[in-house]
Amino acid sequence: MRKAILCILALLLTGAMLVGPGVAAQDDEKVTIEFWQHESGGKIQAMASVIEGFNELYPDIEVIQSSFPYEEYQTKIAASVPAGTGPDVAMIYFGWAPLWAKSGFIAPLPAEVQDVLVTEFAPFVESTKLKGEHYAVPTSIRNFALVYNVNLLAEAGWDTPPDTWDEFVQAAKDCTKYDDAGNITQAGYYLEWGGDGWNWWRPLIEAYGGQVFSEDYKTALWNEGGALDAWNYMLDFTQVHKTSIPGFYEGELEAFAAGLTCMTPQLTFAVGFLRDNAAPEVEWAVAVMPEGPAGRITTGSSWPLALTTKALEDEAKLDAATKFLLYMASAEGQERYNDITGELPSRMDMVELPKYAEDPIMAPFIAQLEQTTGTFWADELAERQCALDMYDAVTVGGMDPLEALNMGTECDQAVRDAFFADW
Amino acid sequence: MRETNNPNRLWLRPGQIAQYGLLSIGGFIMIFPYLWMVSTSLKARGTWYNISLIPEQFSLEHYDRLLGTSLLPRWYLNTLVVALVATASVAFFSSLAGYVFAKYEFFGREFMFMIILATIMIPTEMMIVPWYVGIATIGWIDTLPGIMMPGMLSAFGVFVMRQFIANTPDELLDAGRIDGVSEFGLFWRICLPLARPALAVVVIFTFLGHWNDFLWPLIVVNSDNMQTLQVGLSRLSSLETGADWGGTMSGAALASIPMLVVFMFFQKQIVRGMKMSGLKG
Amino acid sequence: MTTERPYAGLKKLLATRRLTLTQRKKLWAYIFVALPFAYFLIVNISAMLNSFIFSFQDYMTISTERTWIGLDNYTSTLSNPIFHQALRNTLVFAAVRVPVVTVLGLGVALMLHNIRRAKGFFRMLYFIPFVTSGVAIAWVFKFLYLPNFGLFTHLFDALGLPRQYFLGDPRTALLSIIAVTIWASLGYYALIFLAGLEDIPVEFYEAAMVDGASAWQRFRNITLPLLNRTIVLVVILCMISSLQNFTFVRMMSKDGFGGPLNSTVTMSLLIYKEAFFSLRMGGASAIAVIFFAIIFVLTLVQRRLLVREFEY
Repeated sequence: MRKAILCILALLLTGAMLVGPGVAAQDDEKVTIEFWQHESGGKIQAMASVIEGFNELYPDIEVIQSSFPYEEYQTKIAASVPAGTGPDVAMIYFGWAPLWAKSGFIAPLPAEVQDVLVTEFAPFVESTKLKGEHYAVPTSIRNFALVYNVNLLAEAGWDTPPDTWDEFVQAAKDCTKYDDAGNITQAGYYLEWGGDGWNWWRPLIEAYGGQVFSEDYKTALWNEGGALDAWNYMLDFTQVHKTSIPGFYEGELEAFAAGLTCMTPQLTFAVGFLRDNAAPEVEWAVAVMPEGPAGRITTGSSWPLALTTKALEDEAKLDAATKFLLYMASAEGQERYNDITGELPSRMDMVELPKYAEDPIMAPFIAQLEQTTGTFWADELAERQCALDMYDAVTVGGMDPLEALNMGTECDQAVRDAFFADW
Repeated sequence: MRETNNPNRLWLRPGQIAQYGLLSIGGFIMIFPYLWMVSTSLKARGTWYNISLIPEQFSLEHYDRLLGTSLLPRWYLNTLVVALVATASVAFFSSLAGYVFAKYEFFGREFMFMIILATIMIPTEMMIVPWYVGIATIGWIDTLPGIMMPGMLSAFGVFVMRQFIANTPDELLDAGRIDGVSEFGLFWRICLPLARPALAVVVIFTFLGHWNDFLWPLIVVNSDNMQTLQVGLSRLSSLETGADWGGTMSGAALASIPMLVVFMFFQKQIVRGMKMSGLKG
Repeated sequence: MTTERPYAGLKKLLATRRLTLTQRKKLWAYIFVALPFAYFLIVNISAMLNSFIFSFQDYMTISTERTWIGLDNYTSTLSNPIFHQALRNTLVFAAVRVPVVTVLGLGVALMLHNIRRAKGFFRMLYFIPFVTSGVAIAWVFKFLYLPNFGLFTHLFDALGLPRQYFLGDPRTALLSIIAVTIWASLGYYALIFLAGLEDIPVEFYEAAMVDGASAWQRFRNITLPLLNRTIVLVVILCMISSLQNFTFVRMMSKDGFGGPLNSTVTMSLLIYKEAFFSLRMGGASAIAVIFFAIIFVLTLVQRRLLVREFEY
C-alpha cells in the first residue's frame, strides 16, 4: 500500500521533471519583449517575418512571439494580467481599443510613433485615436469591396457588377434561383447579419445620408433620417426580395467560395481565403462598393499592434517596444507583413506601389481607402449584440421593424452612456 | 462477456431481428457524423463545402501537414502523461476520500463532504484566473504539472466513490480489523476492489476529460512543445474566418484514434470493470 | 514528501493503547482526508472565494484596478433579463436532457445486452461520439442543421414536415443543441447501464419465465428495481454535466454567445462572456455566486432523497 502512494508520487515527480519550464535561458545582454497575437491564416508567419527584419536592424532586442486562438485570446490576456506575465506589445482588434484603453491594459503610443501615424497613414487610423492620442499601429488595412461571381452574374444578365445600391437589389433578385417548392438554391445575395451584413450596414447608413454615431461618438443615430432607409434596405433582402434566408449557409464567404451566392461585400482578407479555398468552378472578381444617394462609402477594420501598460514599467523594454512599433509602421515592416498575408499596407505612400495598385483584385480596395471610415466602438461586443438582437427580433421574432430599430438604438445608447459615464 | 445458455434467447428470433434493426438504425445515426468528419478531412482544399459523404477529390494534404509537424509525437506524449498522472491521482485520492466519508464517523464529516460536493457546482470559467495566478506564483506556467494541477482530484469522483463504498458491509471491515489489517489496508485491500465498477466509471470519465480538455491547457501553455494534442492540433488548423475545416477535422480524427483503439481492445474489460458485482451487500 | 520513518512513527503513536479504537479511527480518518480536503480548499474553494470577493468589486477583467462597489453587481445581475433567460435555459437543458438520456440510454443498453452476436461492434458504434472532440461534432451538426442544404432539412421534406431554421430560430435553437449533447453522450450512459444489466443474475429471469411472466413484467419487476442504483447514478452524472454544459452552446449557438435572441444562452456561457469578452469580472462573479447558491440549495433539497435511494 505504501508502494501505491510512492508510485503515485513518483509518477507526479516524473511528470514534473519531464518538462522544465519552457523558457530558454536568457541572455543578459539582450532586452526581451513579449509579443502576443491571435492565430489566423498567415499572420503568425507574417509577424515572424516582421520580427526577422526587425532583428536585422536591432540584433540586441529579442522579440518572443506567442500566438493563441482567436476565440480564447481575450481569456488568455485576462488571465495573464493579474499574474503580471502578459505581453509588452499585443495585436488587438481595433474595436477593442477604447475598452482596453479604458481598463488601463493598453497605453497611448510613444510620441514618435504617433507622429508617423498622423503623417503617413490612411485616415482609418482615427478609429483607434482616443482623447487625442493614437493607441495602435495598423499592420494592414481592410475595407469592404464587392466580391462577385463573374459567371453567375453573367448568367443572370449582368455583364458588369451593379454600381448603385438599387442595382444591387435588382442583380441580387435576378441572380437568385429557387426550386419547385420555392426554396432558395442559389442566393443572389446571401445576408448573414451577424457575419458581414451588420458591418456594411453601417457605411450604408452614411451612403443613404444618415450617420451611425454623432460626431463626439456619444449618441447612436441608427433610427434617424437616412439610417431608416438603410435599415429597411437591409431587411428587405429576406423579408421582401427573398434573395436569401438567415442561415442559408455556414458563413457568407464560405457560401460564396462554394459557388452558392452571386455577390458578397467582403473585407480585404477575403482575397487570401478565396485564392486558397474557392471551388475550382467559381470565377470571381472585385468591384468597388455600390453607390448610394449620398455617395460611395465603405468601412474598414484592422488588427493593429498596441503597447501595453506593462511595457511602461521598464525603461529598456519601453525603448525596445517603441523601436519595434516604429519598425512595424515603417514601409519595410508593412511590406514584410502584407507580402505574406496578401492584404494592403495602411501607409498611403505604399498603396501606390505598382504591385498593389496594378493588381486588378486589389485596385477596388485601394480606390476606396480615402472613403474608408472606421467605427469608434465603446464596447464592440455589447454593441454588436444590440444590432444582432434587433435584426433577429424582426426576422425570427416577428417584431415591427421600426420598433426593433428603436429597441436596438436604445440598447446601443445604453452601452455608450455606460462607457462615457466615467471616461 | 457472460454468454448465457438461456434457451429462450435463440439467434434470429423475431425479437432479436427487431433489436438488431433498431440498433443498426441507431448505430448509423451514431457513426454518421463521425464518418462525415473523416470524409471532410480527406477532401482537398476548395472542395470541402461539398456536402457529400464521398470526397469528390481525395487528398491527404491535411494529414500530411499535421503529421509533418515534428511536434506531434511530443503532443501525444504530453497529453498521455497529463491524462495518466491526473487520472491515477483522481482514482486514488477520490477513492480514499470517498472511503473516509463513507466509513468513518468524525466531527466535521458532513461539513467537509458538503464543501467538496459544492465544488462540483463552481463554474470552471470562474476559476481560470485564480488558478493561473496561483500557477504563475509557483512558476508552473508552461509545464505539464501546471496543466494537471486543477485536475488532480475530482469532487465528482469523491461523490461516486463514497456512494459505492457506503454499500460495503461494515462487518467486512470489522472482521478485517480483528485480523489486524491497518486502516489503510481496509481501504486498499477490501473497499477498493469492491468499488471497482465505480472506479471504472470515474477513470473513464476523468481520462477522457483530460484527453479532450481544451480551455485550461490553452490558458496555461505558451510554447509549442508543451501543447496538448487538442490545443496543438487546433492551433495548426486555425484560420480567422471560415476556418480550415479539413485541418480541424483531420485533427479531431487524429486525436480520437488512440481512444477508439483503446476502447476497441478493452471494451470487454471496461464493461466488466464497471459491473456492480460485489456491491449487493 | 512522505518518507518511511515519520510514517512508521505515526503508526506507532496511533497504535498506543492510550487511544480507544474509535479515537484511532477518527485520527486515521483525518489523516486520510487531510490531503484531498486541503486540495479542494486550495484549488477550488479559494478560487470561489476569490469570485465572491470580486462580486462586490468593480473589476474590469484586463485591469489591475479594483474598487469596492457593494451590492451593485448583484442588483444589476438580478435585474438583467439575460440572466433570467440563462437560468431558465440551463434548467430546461437539464430537464429535457436528463430524462431523455436516461430512457434512451437504458433502451440502448437493454438491446446491447439482449443481442447475441456482434455485441462489441455495436458497443463501439455507440461509444464513438463520446471520444470525438466537441469542436468536430459541433461543426458537423451545424452543417446537418443548415436550413436549406442540411440533412435534417431533407429529412423533414421527405416526411412532409415544414422546414425549420433549427439553430437560427429561438424556438428550436436550444432543443437542437440539446439533441446534439444527447447524441454525444448516449453511448457513455448506455455503457454504465450495460454494466448494471450484466450484473443482474440470469436465474431471476429464468424463474420469471417459468412463472410465465411477460417481457414487460420481467422488465418492470426485475430489471428496473435491480437497476435502481445505476439509474440514480446516471441521473446525477447527467444532471451535473447538463448544468455545466459549455462547449456545445459556445460552438453551436448562432453567434457563439447564446443567440438568436439569447435563446441558447446558458449559465456557464453567460459567465464566460461576461468575464472574458464584456470584461466585467465583477458582474461575472456575481452571476457565478448566484448560480452557485441556486444549485447548492437544489442539491441540499435533493440530497437526502438521492442518498437514500442510492443505498437500497
